[in-house]
Amino acid sequence: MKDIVVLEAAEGIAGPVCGLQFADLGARVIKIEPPEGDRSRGWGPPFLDGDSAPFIALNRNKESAVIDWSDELAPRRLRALVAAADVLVEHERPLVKSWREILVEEPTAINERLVHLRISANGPEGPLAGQAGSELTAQAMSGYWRLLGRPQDPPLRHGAELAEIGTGLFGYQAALAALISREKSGKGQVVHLSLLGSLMTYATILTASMNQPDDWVGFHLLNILWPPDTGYRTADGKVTLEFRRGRQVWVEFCNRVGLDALPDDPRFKDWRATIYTGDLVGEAKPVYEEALSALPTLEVLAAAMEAGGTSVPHATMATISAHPQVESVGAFTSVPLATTGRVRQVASPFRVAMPEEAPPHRASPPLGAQTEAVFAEFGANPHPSS
Amino acid sequence: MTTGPLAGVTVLDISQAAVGPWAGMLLGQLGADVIKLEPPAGDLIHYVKPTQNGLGTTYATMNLNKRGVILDLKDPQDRAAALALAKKADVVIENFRPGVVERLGIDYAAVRALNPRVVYCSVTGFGRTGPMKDMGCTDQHAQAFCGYGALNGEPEGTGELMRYYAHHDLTTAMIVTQAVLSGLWARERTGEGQQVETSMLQAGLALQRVRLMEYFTTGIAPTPQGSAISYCAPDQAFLCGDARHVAVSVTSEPEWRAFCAAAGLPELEADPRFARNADRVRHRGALVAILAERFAAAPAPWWVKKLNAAGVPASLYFDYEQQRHHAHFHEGGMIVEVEKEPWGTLAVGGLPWRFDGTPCAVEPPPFPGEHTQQVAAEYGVSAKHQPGSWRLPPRDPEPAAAGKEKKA
Repeated sequence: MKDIVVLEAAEGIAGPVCGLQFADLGARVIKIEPPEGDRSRGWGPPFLDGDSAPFIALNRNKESAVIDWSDELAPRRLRALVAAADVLVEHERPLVKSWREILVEEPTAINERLVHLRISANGPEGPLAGQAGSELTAQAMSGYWRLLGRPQDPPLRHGAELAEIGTGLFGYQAALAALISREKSGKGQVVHLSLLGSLMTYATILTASMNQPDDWVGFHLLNILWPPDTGYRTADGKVTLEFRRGRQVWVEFCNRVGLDALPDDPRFKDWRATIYTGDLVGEAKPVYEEALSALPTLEVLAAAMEAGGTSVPHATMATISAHPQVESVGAFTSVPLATTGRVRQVASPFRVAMPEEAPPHRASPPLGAQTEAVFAEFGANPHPSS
Repeated sequence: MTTGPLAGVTVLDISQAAVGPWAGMLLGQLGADVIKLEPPAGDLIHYVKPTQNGLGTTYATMNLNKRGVILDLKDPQDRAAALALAKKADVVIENFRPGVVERLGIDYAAVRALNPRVVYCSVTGFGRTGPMKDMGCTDQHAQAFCGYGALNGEPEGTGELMRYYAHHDLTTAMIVTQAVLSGLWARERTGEGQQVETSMLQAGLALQRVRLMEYFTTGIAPTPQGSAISYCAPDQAFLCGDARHVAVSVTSEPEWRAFCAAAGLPELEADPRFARNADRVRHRGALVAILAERFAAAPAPWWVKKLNAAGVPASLYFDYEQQRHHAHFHEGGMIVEVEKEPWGTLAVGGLPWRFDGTPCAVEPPPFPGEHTQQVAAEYGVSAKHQPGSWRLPPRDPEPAAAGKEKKA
């Protein structure tokens, strides 16, 4: 994608995730930042050499150009960039000035080949359109909070940015599909996305399950009432357990971990209900754990696998980072820091051979590092103060 | 039919369950003609409850915007039909365990020999190389293995997984879609197709890339923080005077100034402990104590109105019953209804993108094999399955080989 120019005027996570996918495949991605910088530059601690961890994670292989929205040169500079760009990624927020306010005309009216992604919290239509929102409000309004904790307890938050990252991924799909369509039509277009809409798209199974089910049983329906899934405790960790291939596999596992009595226990007659996603998991868990908590994780994993089941350990960000399988799939990469040294990051999660050579990994850019170069190149002089 | 941006693209989706099928569905919703190929016994996801009028709702939501074809890949005539479909496809998606498509004779080499322009996507659980390549994977295992469970829960707690065992499946499907679109884009430049691939492991780690970065920068693994997040404050739930919670996020300095004014706490803006986000994160305990008292003084809806009016993100906590008939979710297209026998009215998640130039639409799912003869006629091949004849076989209570060739 080395001839594709992406303008990223989208602070935070969603827009930068979208831009990162382009940058990883060789597109030229220019972050347009206000003088105080993308808000995520201030998200921390943790910081590394003054850069925030979220910012470093999402902005490798990009350039940074500062535009002061109040600067009288801003409209001219923006117009020059829009005229030259293939994709504009904008995250609209009530306290952030939109490009349409500054340019007066629509960006797609300046450049009819432009693909303009407009990300908002709640989408362009409906009574909650235009409201401020965030990762947390998207998790709250979409019902995702109900998938953690217990209904009677204070709401919990998913520790990964499901709405923001999901919207960034949907944004890349939209932009690329629109570019593919442009190859035929010659025309770009506007595409709307939202944090809340992304999670509601993701929640489709739950929405359909609860609509008018034949029976209020089965996977996903009593989900809200299931106890929190904390895994099965072993002597030194936690594991998952699943015996999809049938009862004899489960019996074999029980025998290997000292639960020989379970297959004859009337409470475990419907053994499938007592494990994995069964409705009796909560009641049955203490029985399994009494035996498993005496065994090392490696022994439980081996017992399950040798019996023909599936079992994996629960990881932390530390333990997964050291796992050999992660290395095998090339899930991580090493990227320079803006100052000195290098740091590990998550690599592009899919393998695709591009016609151009893979781009070198460049550090996430210091604020405004390419301001002068970008505006010199795109025909608008840099402001002396920038 | 749809006028979506991928109109004219043909996808042969031979995947099962969720990880592959949802990617096929997204491509269908983007306007591609997607043919879902099932074996005579059907996609294993038919067994996932609940049903609506006897047929699975999960099957429906993973296969919207497709045509349904049943072919027996172990039967020479049907396999020839499948290869005829693959020969004309722009995209093939499969999510079997390594080695299975080779046995079925519809692997990348076989398809490429007929169709060098094909973008062929293989998606697995843990990757196609490495010590765990042959292990099956599901959402729950992916969550645990990737460390997702270490990020959620009460502070000081042991962490917990998400009980919606599909989010990691669907995130993998998102990455499949990215890979396919990137392959199609590369083909625009070179004229050549290719095999693209991803795994649930890579998708799960990409979903956590911000939190992994915390570990990579500090060497300290992040832990659960209730409703809060490590790097911003205030950005969490507060208990209000009506015993309901409000979700409040301040993620920029302009939002902080607006928050202080709207909350009637101008003294906080001047307090050096709370000057910048990094200061507020460092003095989170003191900040939250002050705010908790303030939030308790008014009901949650009052706070939502007050903060939204000031441009500060704030919302109530909704559940399904509040969404199902809420005007925003319908007018905003976030819950969409489609009609299809035998399900009747299906309520499904809406489109995640709204294209102004090439509008997309949510189309109903096929009844399994509904289009077998229609597609066979279109491609000039013969197929055994007769539409309307399909019934879900009773599930063997102890299927000896189930899971062997099933979902990645």
